[in-house]
Amino acid sequence: MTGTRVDFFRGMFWLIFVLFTVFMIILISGLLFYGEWAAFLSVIRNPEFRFAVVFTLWTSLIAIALAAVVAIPSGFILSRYNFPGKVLVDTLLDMPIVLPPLVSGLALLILFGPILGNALVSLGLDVVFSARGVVVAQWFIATPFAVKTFKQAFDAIDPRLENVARTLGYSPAEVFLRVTMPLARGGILGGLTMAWSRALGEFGATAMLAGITRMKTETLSVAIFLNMTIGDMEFAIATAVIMLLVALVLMSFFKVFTGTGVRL
Amino acid sequence: MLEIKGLCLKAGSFQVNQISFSVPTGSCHALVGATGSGKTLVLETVAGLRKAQAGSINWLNRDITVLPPEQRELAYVPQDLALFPHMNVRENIEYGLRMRKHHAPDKRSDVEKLTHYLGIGHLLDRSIQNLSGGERQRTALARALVPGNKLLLLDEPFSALHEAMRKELWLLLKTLQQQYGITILIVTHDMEEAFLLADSVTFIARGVVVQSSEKQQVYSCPANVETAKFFGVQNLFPAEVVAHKSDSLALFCPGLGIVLQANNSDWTRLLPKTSVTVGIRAENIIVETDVTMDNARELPALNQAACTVKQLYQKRKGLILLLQPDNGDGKCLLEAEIATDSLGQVSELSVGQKVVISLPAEQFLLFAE
Repeated sequence: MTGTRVDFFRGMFWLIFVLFTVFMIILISGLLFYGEWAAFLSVIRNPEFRFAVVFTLWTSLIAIALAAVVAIPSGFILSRYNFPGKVLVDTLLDMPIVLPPLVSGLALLILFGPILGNALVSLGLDVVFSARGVVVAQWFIATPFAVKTFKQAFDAIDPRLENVARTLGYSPAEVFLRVTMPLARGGILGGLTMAWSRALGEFGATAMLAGITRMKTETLSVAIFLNMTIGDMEFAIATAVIMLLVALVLMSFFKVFTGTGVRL
Repeated sequence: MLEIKGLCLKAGSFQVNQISFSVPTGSCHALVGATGSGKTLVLETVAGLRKAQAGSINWLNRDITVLPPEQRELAYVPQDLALFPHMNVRENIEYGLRMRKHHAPDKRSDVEKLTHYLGIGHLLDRSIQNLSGGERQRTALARALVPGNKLLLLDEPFSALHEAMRKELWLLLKTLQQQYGITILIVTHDMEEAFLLADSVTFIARGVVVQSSEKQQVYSCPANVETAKFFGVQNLFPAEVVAHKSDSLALFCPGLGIVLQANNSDWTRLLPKTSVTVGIRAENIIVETDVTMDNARELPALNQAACTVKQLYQKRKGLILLLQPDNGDGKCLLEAEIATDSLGQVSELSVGQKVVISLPAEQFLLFAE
């Protein structure tokens, strides 16, 4: 009787899991097969599409590099130290994950517009409605994902390894570079992949801070939106397919080669 | 010499207070105590992994109290060994050399010599994951010693090993210590380990030093009941001084229902009616089986009691008896140990059997309350 119940219980889990997987396959197949391949090839040759691809790549790569610069120390501090208000700080850093991107974008617009705008413009670093704004928006949305995954990666390392390395003559910085980082490598790469995927697809905050200007602040997501609004479905679908394939390849590549399942 | 004076530190709500002891160069000192007594905290503070709130740590006349771990020039092996999982055996062992710029060929040959001596010379290219417990232990020791530091801090290093391997490594460590002139500070809760390896012992309880002296002194004259319990005095029972002479004391023990005579001139300062705790080790109780109750009374009554065997345990090295004194208050249960080689001297024992025990006066430990 108990065995039957357990089998039913596990069977239900399997059923839900399989149904959801099938749903995802149908969803992605729909996107892949709805468009025409001839149109797809012409979109690839389209200068606007090429601009969006290159623009998305360089902005997201800069954003991810900046995210790593912020997330590595932040994740390490959250992992290794306890301090008053840690829960609040941790929650605060999670905000961009739970906030609607439009709200994040609005907050960024206010910060880099009315509050810091004049100072930044005088320094030649205007952010609003510029490519810099795209980088800032992608960085802002991606960083919390990186912080979270890096923290998990550092949590998994026994601090005693770092302690022993100190007694063997290594300074804290050397211990971090020679012990902590090599051991956290899988988690760091997994976190960067996750954050990069998020940055690649970022739309809401980018639209609010950098605007949606064709051939200026046009990321792939913005390109899909712009072309949907003028009824160019072929362009939108082709772009979406490209983004989908990039995401699939990226995620699979890092899961296989880093040996880490990306967790959040 | 390693000299620790008035060391105080805090870990969460736990406080370690006024820890002082010294370890002569080339000797081994054991920090012993129950789990949570603060001994590991002291070791980590000596290693520089925790900050001392007060006190000083001197190693070879150099004040290292505030130095970071990398400048203390000591070797540290934590309880779980903390071998670097992303490196093989050789990389682990040579890790400390890289920072200390010991790339000279003589240092390399030192590595070869030490690893050969530790019996891991053939494992140098093996992954850490593929080592047995003993091999991991030897690798951790080699890694700690290769940079050439002469102060070795060990935190319960052999606790995860089986007995035979533990004993093998004790002897190896002892030989290493003598050969390389290493000073060792070891944290352990294993009495056998402490007594085999250490020359002196510090017993810590609740973050304070209870007793610190030569190991034989701690063993034969524990400072209080807590130390005595920790150092294996199984029989501790309350008594009251009923009379005292110049060189002996008469003590009434309700648990045994007899008056004991204790010979020690140090105790004669105890006044009559003083409450004390009497202690005696299980192996020091003499059990006689070939005596009936009648002729037991004919024996010299001094320090003898008739008892009933309540339980028997066979141990590898002998027999453990739990004995209920027949004339006691019923609250006292004595533990006696008969060594295997003495078993032939007593007839076969069984539960419920009547025996007579003798408690040699010179074996008593006495603790005034």
